Order: sequence, then C-alpha cells, then structure tokens
Amino acid sequence: MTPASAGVPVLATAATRPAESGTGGTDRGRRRRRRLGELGPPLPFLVAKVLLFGTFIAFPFVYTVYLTFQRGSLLSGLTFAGLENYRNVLRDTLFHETLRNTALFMVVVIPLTIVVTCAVGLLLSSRIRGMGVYRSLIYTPSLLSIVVAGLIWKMLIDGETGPLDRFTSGVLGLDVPWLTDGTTAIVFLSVVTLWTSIGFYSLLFMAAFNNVDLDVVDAARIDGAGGWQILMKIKLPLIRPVAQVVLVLVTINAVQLFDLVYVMTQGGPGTATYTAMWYVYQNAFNGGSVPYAATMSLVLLLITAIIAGIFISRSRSEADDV
Amino acid sequence: MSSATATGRPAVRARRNTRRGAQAAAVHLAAIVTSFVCAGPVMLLIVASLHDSVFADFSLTDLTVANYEQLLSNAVFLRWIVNSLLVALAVTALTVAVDVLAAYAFAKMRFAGRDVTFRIMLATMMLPFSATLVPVYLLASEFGMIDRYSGLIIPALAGPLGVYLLRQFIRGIPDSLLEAARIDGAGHGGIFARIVLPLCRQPMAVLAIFTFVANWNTFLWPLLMAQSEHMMTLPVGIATTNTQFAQNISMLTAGAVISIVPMALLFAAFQRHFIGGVLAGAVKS
Repeated sequence: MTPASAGVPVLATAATRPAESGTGGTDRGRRRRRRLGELGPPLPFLVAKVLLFGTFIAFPFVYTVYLTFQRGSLLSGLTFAGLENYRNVLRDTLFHETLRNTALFMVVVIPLTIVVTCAVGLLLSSRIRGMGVYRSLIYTPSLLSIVVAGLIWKMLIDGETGPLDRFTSGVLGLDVPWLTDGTTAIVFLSVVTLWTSIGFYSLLFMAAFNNVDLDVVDAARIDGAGGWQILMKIKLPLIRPVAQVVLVLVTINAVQLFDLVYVMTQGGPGTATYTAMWYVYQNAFNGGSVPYAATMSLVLLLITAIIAGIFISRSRSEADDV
Repeated sequence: MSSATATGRPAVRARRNTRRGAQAAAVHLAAIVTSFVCAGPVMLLIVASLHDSVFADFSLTDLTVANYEQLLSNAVFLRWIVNSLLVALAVTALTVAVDVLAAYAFAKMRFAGRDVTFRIMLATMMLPFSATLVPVYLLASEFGMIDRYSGLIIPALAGPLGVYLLRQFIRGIPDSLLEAARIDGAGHGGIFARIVLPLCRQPMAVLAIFTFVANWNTFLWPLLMAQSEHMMTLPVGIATTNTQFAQNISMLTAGAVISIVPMALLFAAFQRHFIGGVLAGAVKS
C-alpha cells in the first residue's frame, strides 16, 4: 500500500467514492479503485465505531494538543498563546508538588504491587485443595468500585471506631497519623491501591505461573535444583513478560490516581495528596483555566510515556541479554 | 542389607511426605492470611451495614436490616440503582455490538486505510483518560449530553479494546469457512450473522463482562456528567457528600454493599469469564 492511499481516512475515501466511480472507465481510475479495495461493503460494519472513536478519542486528543497553545476560556474566546501554558506549567510550584506527590506514590505503589501480587499469584498457582475458594476471596476487592474501597478503609482507620486504628494504637501502641500526615497519607493511599488491585494482578501472575512448562521445571529438579532455585532461576525469568505488563499497567494507573484521592483525602492534608490528576481536575472543572489543565494533562502524558517507554525498553534489552 | 533398605525407603518416603505436608500447610496458611486481608474488610463493611447507628459499629449483636429497608424504599437511592444498571447494561450491549461489527471488518475485509485506522486505534489503547478528558467534556456539553443518559453512555463506547480483542479472535476463523458460505451465495451480512457471530459467543461474553464491571464501578466520568442528584450512578451517589445519606455511616455502608451485590453475583456465575477478562486486560498492552 502506498503512503498516499494509506493515509486517506476511511470516511474521506468513502465520501469521494461516487465521484471516483464516474471516472472509473479510465485505466488510472480502475487501478486506483482496485488498490483502495471496495469501500461499500465494510462501511456499515465500521461506521459506528469509527464515528465514536473519532469523536470521543481521536478528535479530543488532537483538541487537547490544540488547547495547550491557547489562552482564555471557551466562553470568552480562545486566543493563541504560544508556549505560555508550558512555561507556566514548568514554573508552577503547586504542579511541581503534585508531581513530587505522584512520584512518591509511584515509588511506593509500583514495587509493592509487583512484589505482593507476584507472590500471591505464585501462591494461587500452587495446586492445593480449596484453592478455588481462596482465589474467589482474594479477588473480592477487585469487584468493588474505588469509591467503596475508599469508604471501607476510611472506616477501618476511623479514630473512634476503626478496627485497624484500634489495633495499631491499642495493641502496637502506635498512633498512626493515617490521613493527617502528608507522607503517611500517600503511603496509605498506596496500600489501599494495592488492596484494590491484588485480585486482578495476581490472577495475571497466576496464569503466567500456570503456563510455565512443567518439563523444564522437572528437568531442573532432576538436575538437583531446589524449590527456591527453580523459582528464581526458571519461573521468574519465564514470567517476565507478564511482570512487564503489570508494571506498565500499575504505572499508568498510578499516574492517573484520582478516585481514591477524591473519596479519601480531597487532596489534603493541605496539598500533600494533590496528585497530578487531581490538580488537572481542579483546574478544568473547579474554576481554573481549561487550556492550562489541558497542558498539564499533556505534560503528564509525556511523563507517563517516557516512564513506560523506559520500563519496556529496559526489560527488552535485559531479555535480549539472556 | 536388604532389610536396611527396606526399612530405609519408608523412612525417606515418610520424611518426604511430612515435608510435603508441611509445605501444603504453609501454602494453606499463606492463602488463608491473604484471603483474610482481602475479604476481611468487605466482611466488616457488611457487618457495619447491619447496624443502625451514626458511627460504624462492627459488633455482631443487635443486627438489623433497617438500613436496607430504608434505602430500598427511598426513591433517590432506587434511582441510582436504576441509573447504574441502565448505563452499565446499555454501554455493555452497545459496546459489544459496535465492536464485533468493526472487528469483523478489520479482520476479514479489505479496504483502503484499514491497517492505518486499526493501528491508530491500537495506539490509543494506552492513552490515559486525562489526555482527552477536557475536550470530551466540552463535546458532551456542546451536544447537550450533560446530566443525560446519552452523556453517561455514548462517550463510553469509543474505546478500542473490544475491537482489538474480537479482531484477534475473528482472524483465527479459517477463511475457507467463510469462502464456503460465499459460494453458497451469502454476502458479508450473511457470513457475519450466520458464521462469525455464533463463533464469537465466548470472546463476546468476556468483553461483555469486562465492560459491565468497568462501567458499573466507573467514577470520574459519571461524576462529571451527573449534575443533579437523580442522574447519579451508585458510586457517584455514595461518594457525594451533600446527599441525604452522607451523614449516616451505616446507611452509606448498606448502599456500598448493595452496589457490590451485582458484581458478586456476576463473579459467582461467570468466574471463568472474569479471568478471561483479566487476561484480556493483559493482552491489551
């Protein structure tokens, strides 16, 4: 397919079709029609999806990029602003803080999630009686909306009646400032996030462990490898692709952290749990600047893409080394 | 000599058995602890919902279903349940329909721009919602969709995941099967309806469950769309602090439990598809 014909969007070619069939008698027209294939038959199959995708994903994304170079509001009218929004974003100390908060959240939640869900996945892959029951129970938190998860954990840490708070203060003698200290709040949000995603990710790991070729494991056992060695030297390297998928998913979700902040902290104490997404939301929908919010979301996207890209390329090159 | 080995073997076997037994016990213990950490808080939520008190109460005495009676006879709360069900069901049915049609075209038809269009859709699979959120909201407002079911449903149908999943599956259907139908005089419509659709039942079920769960629990978009109390979905209603339920913890917990019930039933009935959905999520990247 030549770049010219490949670049034509489906709908545009469909629209030009009647004119083209008029000139279909010429050699060139015939050749072109053959190259384009028949557009009549696929159209009824495609039209709904292409319209929806174009209207609510492709166009909005392009419009986000456009907005980042504008100032003003949609009511008062937009004017070209050049790189002003980007300059402001880079200078915005509150945006810097939201990035630091998000970074701290990621530093805690990413390794925590990978290690715990991998271990639980390994556990779920062992063949013991009653595993189906355990699996269902472990999947329970993944059935809840984040709103409900937040409600549950706020209840558990309540200073008056929360069982978890009673345990830490009564039994352990610790007065944990769950959501009143900034760093503790972010660590706590990480733990709750882990809790909501254990079921999902550990099932992924379980499937990966179940896919490990038993012949390879048996061969290693015959060679005298112990259980620990088999795990470290054979199973873990074999499930690396799944670990990479989980890593990327956790990273993307971590950058997007919003629902939990909404139900648990509303950004507080102070601005300690202002995550990037929360700040974007505040700017876009609570009386801030829409172009500015768009710029932040784009900067956020760039950061996510870079981190995800690093994770993917690093694990690729490591895989190549093996 | 022979008697020594004869007594030795059972000893080794016994040692191995006790080790295996200990190992199994350790696995059970770890599984029980993990299950407790995961399901325990949900159990506490259920217990709290069975009390009629201002503060959360986790005791197992004086249980009552008063909260449930009150909620299920409250017009606003019933409306939230209806909204959640209606939106999640509509999004699920429409997503599956729209996606399986498009997936067939991408998998089995030849047309200009097919590969480019598909690749563009695929590239947006990992695009975070924040990157399109503001313009999608502006569009919805432009189309007059805010505070309407159309706003809750239509923008949720745009994602490429279903097309990708179903296309992968439909590509696996051998061309000879479709060719045979074509020789019998079937057009694309006939082939799609009589061959492709029946074969796609399994992946369509996976996509349906995945979509239903995601949309039942989704929060940010309905939060933006529902401006008035009677257009809220359950998660938005539960999270909104200025409703008539917000001040009463046990009432909120009962509402939360009610919001879990459909997910729990679905999970009990279609566990295998849930796991399929998880794997689909993995394929997604």
